Amino acid sequence: MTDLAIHVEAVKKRYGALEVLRGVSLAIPKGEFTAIIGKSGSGKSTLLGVIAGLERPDEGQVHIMGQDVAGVADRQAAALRRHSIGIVFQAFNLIPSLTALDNVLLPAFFEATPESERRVRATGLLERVGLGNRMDHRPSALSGGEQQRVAIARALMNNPAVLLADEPTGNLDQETGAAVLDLIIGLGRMEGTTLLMVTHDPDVAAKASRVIEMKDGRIANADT
Amino acid sequence: MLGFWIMTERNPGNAPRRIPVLWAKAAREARNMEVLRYAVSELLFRRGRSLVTMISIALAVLAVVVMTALATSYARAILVPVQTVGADVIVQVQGDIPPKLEGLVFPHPNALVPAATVARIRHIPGVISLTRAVYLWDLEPDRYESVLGIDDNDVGLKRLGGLLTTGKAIHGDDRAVLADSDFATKNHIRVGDLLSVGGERFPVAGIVDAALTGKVVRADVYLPLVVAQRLAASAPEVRALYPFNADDCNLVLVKADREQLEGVVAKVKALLGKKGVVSSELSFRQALSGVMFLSRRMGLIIALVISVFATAFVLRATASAVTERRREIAVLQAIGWPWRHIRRQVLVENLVLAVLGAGVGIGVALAVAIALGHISITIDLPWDLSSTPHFIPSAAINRTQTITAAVRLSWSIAAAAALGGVLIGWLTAFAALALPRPAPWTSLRSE
Repeated sequence: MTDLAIHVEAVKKRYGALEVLRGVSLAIPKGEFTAIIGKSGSGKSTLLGVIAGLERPDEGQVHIMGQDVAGVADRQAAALRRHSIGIVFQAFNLIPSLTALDNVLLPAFFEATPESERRVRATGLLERVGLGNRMDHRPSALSGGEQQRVAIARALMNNPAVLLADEPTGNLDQETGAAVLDLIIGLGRMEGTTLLMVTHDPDVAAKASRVIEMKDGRIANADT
Repeated sequence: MLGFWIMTERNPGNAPRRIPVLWAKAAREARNMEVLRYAVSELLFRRGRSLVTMISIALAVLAVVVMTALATSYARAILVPVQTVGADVIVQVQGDIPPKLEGLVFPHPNALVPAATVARIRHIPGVISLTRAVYLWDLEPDRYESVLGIDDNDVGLKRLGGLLTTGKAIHGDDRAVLADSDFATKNHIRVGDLLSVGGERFPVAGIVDAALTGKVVRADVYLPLVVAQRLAASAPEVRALYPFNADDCNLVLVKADREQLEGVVAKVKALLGKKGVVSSELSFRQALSGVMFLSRRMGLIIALVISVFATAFVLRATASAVTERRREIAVLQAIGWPWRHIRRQVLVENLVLAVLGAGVGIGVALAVAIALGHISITIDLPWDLSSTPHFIPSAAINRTQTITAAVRLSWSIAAAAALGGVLIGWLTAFAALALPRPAPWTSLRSE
């Protein structure tokens, strides 16, 4: 259990009459890059939400770095996300009123670390994603690729053990998407982060060390 | 030493970290600054919503402060007529209509007040001083004049001396009169002329502008009390109704301890019985209760209505902002913000707008008060306090009095209104956040 970054056991999730996850079990070792593929409606994004603690499973258990995500109070789940999980979304989801630097600083808002140290960390991350000269720009002044880089820096701000990515290249052109993907994988490796990525793009999935295919709320097959 | 260390938020998967208290305090302060910075960025980013909220709160504060200031000024102005007489209580007794309306007569709100009654009033606790007066109508076939004989003191002849426009003052032992400026102008009377009162002729020592102090207890001709008492005591139409002696009067002006005003009024009323007419700030307020209601209550009601609408606007703007920011709130949840911090962020944003709105509201209210300067109102005086023989068309005077009063803001009301404005901002944020929480993943997921 201690070698596992993510451990999902017999998770079921239903929206009304629709059963989206039908007893999914999954174990991802620390430091591994795993891709989840599947058609729309297969349940892959819902599974990611459940792993992130943003969706409550109806049944089953979810552990991140040995910590229970599914059975704890909202406040504890939030603390777990803040410290152990970084999330990159398809739609970037930056706060439009804040600059790139402030967006990256957001997850560290409640850390006891002095502000100066947090700023050094955020600035360093933005420089590593190639946005050292655009820190004071708001999202509206950045391209899609740049916004996603800010989102990656934000996801890595608290040095999470697990990075969850939900179609991170879905809103980008092929070239930019490839660059962003390389950035996620490269930074993830550099930081020793476990990467779980939902994608429908076989080329993206090909870069993962393991590919899990989902179908009708179940894991259809898991290749290594 | 252990007390110097505190536990901070637990880092799941790791041991709890310990940091010095001072470091934690500094971090907390820095975080508060960041919360404020984020709030200001958000408010500037959503200028439209911020303006609606701020203006709504400013309007509510402005309405409460200005309406209250106007109402207070109005209420103060209404009390001016009684206060300008120089007394706190005006004592009269309702009488009868004389058999013949000729020569010197008592107006029927001014019946006999015997000297013994005056002495008893003087001994009522709370009475500071008394001024006796005799108010008469002098009805001749070709003319009419109202005559007031009054004690020689600060409320009586001395006060009239201060209102001289020409000539000189008269004293208690003089055999001369003062003429009111309006009466003198109308009848071409000048200082030194002889004026007939009750068939006797008196030299006019001076002209007074009594209108300067209002129209209550105002007459055409003023003379020493003893002269008026003597004239009344020998007037057939007065004697036909009352056993008037030379030391009696028919009008008493009482200065009272304001703390005991209510008690003094009650005791004088009890002394005079059913026919007593006791006018004071209290009776004036009662008589003008309709106007007072309009001025005080309506001001507050209008302010309250505006505040309710302002609250509705702020609530709508805040609820819209929270709905618009559903995705943003979901992002904050996704990156690990606890709900209480998200709630605090929205509260801080509304609080900033509420403080700004309250400040703007008070600032504009101050500007409005300065721009208005004063209010001017015209009120109808009760006939008892300014009686003229209405059966003589030329004698009936206009009993309306125009009073001006400065518009002054009450800082305690301003502070209360500002606090109310802040409360509106605070409560509407709470109400908006009480809406069902969005499921964060629904707003953020790719599919």
